[in-house]
Order: sequence, then C-alpha cells, then structure tokens
Amino acid sequence: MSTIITCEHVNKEYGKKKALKDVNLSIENGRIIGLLGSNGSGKTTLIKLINGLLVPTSGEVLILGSKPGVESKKIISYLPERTYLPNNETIEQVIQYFSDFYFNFNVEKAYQLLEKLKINPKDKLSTLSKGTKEKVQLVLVMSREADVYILDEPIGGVDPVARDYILSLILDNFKEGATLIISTHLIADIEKILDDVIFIHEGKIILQSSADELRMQYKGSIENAFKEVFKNV
Amino acid sequence: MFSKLLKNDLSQMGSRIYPLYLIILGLAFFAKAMNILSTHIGAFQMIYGFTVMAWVCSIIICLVYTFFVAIQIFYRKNLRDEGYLTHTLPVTKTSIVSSMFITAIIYTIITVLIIMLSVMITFYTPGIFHDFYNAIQTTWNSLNILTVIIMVLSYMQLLSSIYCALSIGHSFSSNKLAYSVVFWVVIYVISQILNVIGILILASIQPEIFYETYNEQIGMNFAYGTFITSIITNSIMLTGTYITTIMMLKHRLNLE
Repeated sequence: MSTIITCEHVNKEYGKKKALKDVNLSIENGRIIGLLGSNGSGKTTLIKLINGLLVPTSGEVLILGSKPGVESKKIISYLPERTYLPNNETIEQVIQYFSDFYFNFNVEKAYQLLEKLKINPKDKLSTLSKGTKEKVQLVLVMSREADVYILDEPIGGVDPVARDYILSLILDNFKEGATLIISTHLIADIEKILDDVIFIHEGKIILQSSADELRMQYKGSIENAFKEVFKNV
Repeated sequence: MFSKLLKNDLSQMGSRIYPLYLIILGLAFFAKAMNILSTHIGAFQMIYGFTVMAWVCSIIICLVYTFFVAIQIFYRKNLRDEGYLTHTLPVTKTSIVSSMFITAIIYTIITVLIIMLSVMITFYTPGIFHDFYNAIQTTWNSLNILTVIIMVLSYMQLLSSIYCALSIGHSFSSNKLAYSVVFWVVIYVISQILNVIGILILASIQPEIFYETYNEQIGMNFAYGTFITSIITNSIMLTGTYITTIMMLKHRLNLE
C-alpha cells in the first residue's frame, strides 16, 4: 500500500496560539481513517493544511510527494465543516459548477443522490434549511470519483437518527480504493467503519494506529481507547 | 480552467448588474418619449423633467453599484465561507484573482458603454451619431488619450488596492475589516509618496517645466511629464498590489 499523505514536523501558529505542534503523519492509500479529537484539538487546521487552505508555519505537508496545489485539489474531495455554497444559486447551477471544474465529478450520480434524499435540484440554496444545505454539500463531495475524500465533521450537525443514513451514504458512494478521512468528535457513531484512527489533542498527534489493534487492546471499542488514552494525556 | 472561471465570474456579476442596465435604458427610452410628447402637450414637460432626474440617479447608482459589486464578489468568494469552495478548486490563485479583476474591468467598461448609449437615446436627434463621431475626432489628441489611460489605470489601481487591503486585513485572526481599512490607507499613502517621488525625479531631469509655464511648449511638456509620471506610478502600484493580493491568498489565507 502506498503513502498518499505525509506530514513532516508540521507546526501551525495563529499569532501566539499554536494550533498544531510537530505533527508527523503518514496516511496510506485505500484506508478509512478517523481523525478523532475533541473540539479545538486541531483537526480542522490539519485538514485545511492538507487541502492547501492554510500554509504550515514550519514543516511540510505532501500529497503524493508534492505540496498541496492544483494537482492535489484535482484528486481530493473535501467537505468543510461550514456551509460554503453560494446562496443565490440553484442546486442545478452548483452541480454545473462542480462538473465544470472537477474532471472526476459524476453529474448523474449527483442527481441520483439528490433524488434519494428527496431534494429538488431546481431549488435555490437560499431557500434550503442548514441541514439540507449540508446534505447537498455531501452529495456534491461524494459525487466526485476522487482518490481522497476528506470530510470534516460530516455528522456533527445531524440528528442521531440521520447519522447512520449519512454514514451509509458516504460508504456507498466513495470510490473503491480511495482514502477516506473522517474528522469527528462523535466517535461512537463512526468507529465501526474505521480501518485506522488518529487521535489528536491540543495540536499534537497522540496516537496513530490500526482500528483493529485498538479494539483488541481496549475491549472492542475505539471510544474506550479514546477515553483511556486521553485520561493519561 | 481560466476560461471557466472567467465565464462563471462574468455570469455571477452580470446577474447582479443586468437589471440596472435595463432600468437605465428603460428610463432613457421613457425620457425620450416624454420629450417628444412634451413638444406637443405641455403637461408632459414636468414628467420629462422627473424622468431625466430618475435617469441621472440611475446612472450614478449603476456606476457606484458596479464598483461595489466587484469588491463584494471578491470579498465573498475569497475571504468568507465561499472561499472554501473557491480555494479548493484545481486552479491557481493567479487565475482566481485575474478572473475576478478582468470581470470587474469588463463590467465597468460595459457600464460606461450603456451610459453612453442611454445618453444618445435620451438626447437623440437626427445626426447625433455623426456629431458624436466628429466630437471624438476633434478631441482625439495625445494629451486626451493620456488622460483616458490615466483614468483607466487609476480605476484599476483603486480596485486592486482594495483587493490587496482586504486580503491583508483578512489574514489577521480578528478585526479583519478594521485592519483592511488601515492597510488601504497605508497603500494610499505609499501611492502618494510614489507620486511625489516621480514628480521630484521629473523636476531633477527637466527643472524648467516647473517655472517656465508661460511658455506654451514648456507648459505642454509639463502636462506630458506629469501625466507620464502618473502612468508610471499607477502602473507600479497596480502591479505591486496585484502581486501582493495573490501572495496573501497563497500564503496567508485565513478563512476562520
């Protein structure tokens, strides 16, 4: 299995605040990885660095051996924690926009997923609720045949009943062999789907391990492992 | 990819401005109709007057609005939540900034053309196009060409300096808009200092143009000298702020 994302001694500072401290990571191709940590632990900062939305203060982030840029953006499908679509456009227009810019965007798949979710593509984004906008964003991100999917808190704003549905939508629609990174603080909801886990706390990587190893070590639950590890931090 | 960005930016900005173009042209046609009617029925004179007032207001609003929308779209698409979409597209920062900048310039030119068209409609008389052509021919000398170049460059520099100030201001974690205003003032002061330096250089090369202004030839040299100095300083500022904007979005983007 080849390495797709590497972080070498990455530090990120916002003024005097250190958001990431000497992060060293290596993420393998074709795995489902949980980036787990409490709110404000540095998950989103790390994800933004991988997506080229931030530049590290020191150290290096590499995607397939190159710094984040035009080429990495072609292969990474990113779902931010914010609603970021232009409110004055219709869903159809946004689908056209994605299809214009991403060669790996599957228009048919996007319309199928919208139909499944009972969302009318002719609706203007400004008329949709926050939850529906988040679903539209997820549909757009999962309709790309990308090599890496990075989802920042995809189930954070969703009620517990809908969480399983969202997770199955993610699992059913990501490209086979692709890498999937899910950042969340809701560990119990996603732990069953993970191959690997990364624990992050106050900007430091506390642990990177295979999910199976952790389950064996901590009575079958990653949430238990999380609690145990963080108790000793 | 650049053409796709440009197409998208043109359609987004256009959808905001086209209604104003329709209003300006509609008012121009209506004013002309009232003008014709008022020559036969005196009561229409007052309506004609009000229509012309509304038309002039719509022109001022359209000019201000075109400038405002260009800045607002840059701000929204780069520095607010929509930035998550813009800056994860597989395109370079240079393409993103250039596309928005070119779009703003294109719509400013279209706005000016629409205003000129509406003037011709409002004051249409047989032979107006011929008169207009003649007026341009008689005033089309090198000094007036330089004036037009300075106006266009100054507008581009103003737009670019605001983009630059917003990009620098938004790289801070808090008080982003306040910092943007501060940096715009800093950029303005730098441009004024550059202008003064330019004039001083000109004075050291040709000192006579500053005190022998009664001589017509030297007076013309003075005008050309200051105009060319202004073009050079505006070009330097435009290039500087343009590159700084791209560098800020590349290295100091902060969407928090």
